[in-house]
Amino acid sequence: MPHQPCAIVGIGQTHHKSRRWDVSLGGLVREAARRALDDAEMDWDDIDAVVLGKAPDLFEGVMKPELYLTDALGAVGKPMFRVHTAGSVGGSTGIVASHLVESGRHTRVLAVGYQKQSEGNAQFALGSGKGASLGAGGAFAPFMRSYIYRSGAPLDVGPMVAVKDRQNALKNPYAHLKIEDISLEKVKASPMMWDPVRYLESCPSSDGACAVVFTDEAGGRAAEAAGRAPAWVLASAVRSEPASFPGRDPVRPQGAVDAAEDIYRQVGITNPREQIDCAELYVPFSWYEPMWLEAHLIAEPGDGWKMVESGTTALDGDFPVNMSGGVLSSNPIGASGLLRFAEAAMQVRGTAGEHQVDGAKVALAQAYGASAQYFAMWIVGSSLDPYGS
Amino acid sequence: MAELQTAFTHEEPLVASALGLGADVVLNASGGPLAANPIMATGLVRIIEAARQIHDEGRQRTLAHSTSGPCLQQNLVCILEGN
Repeated sequence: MPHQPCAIVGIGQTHHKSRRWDVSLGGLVREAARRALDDAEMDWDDIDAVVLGKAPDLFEGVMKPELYLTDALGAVGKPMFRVHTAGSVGGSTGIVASHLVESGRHTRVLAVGYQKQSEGNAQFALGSGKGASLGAGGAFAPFMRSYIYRSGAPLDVGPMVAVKDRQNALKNPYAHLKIEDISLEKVKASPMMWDPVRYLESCPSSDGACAVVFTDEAGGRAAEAAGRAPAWVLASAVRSEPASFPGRDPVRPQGAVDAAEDIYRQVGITNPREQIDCAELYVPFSWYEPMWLEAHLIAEPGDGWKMVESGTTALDGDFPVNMSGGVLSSNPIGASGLLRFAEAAMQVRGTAGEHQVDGAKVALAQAYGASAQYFAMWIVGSSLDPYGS
Repeated sequence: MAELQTAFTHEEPLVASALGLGADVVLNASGGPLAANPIMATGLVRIIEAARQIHDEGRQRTLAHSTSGPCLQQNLVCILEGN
């Protein structure tokens, strides 16, 4: 469907930590939003509409936070939209914001995702507040075991992902976990949480927020002319499916395959491994890196783990994955998807600092949620025509 | 006519006044949220009822309103017209 081009001209995030006791929910989202506005050289009045994403209200016990946070986000008297698609919500939030620009409805839109996990108990909330919950790790462990069984992957692949992402996090000033002495031995010596996932192969609980400013083509061109490189949204897609139905493959969910096919088709990508420079994938538990590389058609079925083992997905590899340190290093759930999307945009803008992939022109971002049943994906580029077609 | 998401009686004069709806405008011909309030669907029901007034009752222009928050913090208004 034809639509207007959409540019990302501002990105901001908080320093992610276990407990941000120095700020309220309003202070947390405002910190990220202010940084995004500064990056875009805009002020609150320049924004036409705000899109707010977060995971279930039960996580902090604040219902309808979009009403409470309207003032903190400068959205009084403006359209304010709440998005909620579980863990993929940050991605969906960015996509909804980009659609508001692409449709021509608004010119400058602010997207914000956040979570303040310290103000609640996410594992309790994941059990619908009824008490006993296996937590996310317990829910995903059978899928990861099934992947290992099906692919024949060596058991060191999970720990290798954990080491790689935690090493990348050391280069990211905003990352939550900074484990200077990370090593394969250290990961393997950490306690087994939900076999096959160990403590150091799991994401942390973080307080944090992320914000992104979207503009129309004129806004993107103006930023470019002023020496502030924009990232262009080249494609986006969301897919969802029930958590359980006969024939569902939770290791390779059809929604994950379909979302990837959709965005590749939109950009004209026929060989994602070659035509995409780097990717930020939602990997809260180590084994999800090879699983998503396969489900998103970057690796052949059963071959995703080989990209990990060969170092292809390392920061200096041919197909870097989770340059920021990923969800394994920072996990403010409602912001985690938008952080993936923002990191992809930072890469093609050339503003990723020490975790920059040299010459990145096309980057992929993905977020997933709930029982691996919601998918949000986008591709961003340094230009609207990155392949010079 | 206008369909307003006013689930409590005091909200109807507040919203009608804020929207500048005069005494000649019929409010909540469907019975409104006081008659049925499937909370998250109530706003969409207003749009359906406003459209139904055009389809079935021959009205030319109707208004639908929906809201969120105990103090009517968030509001959506749309205007529908027949051919």
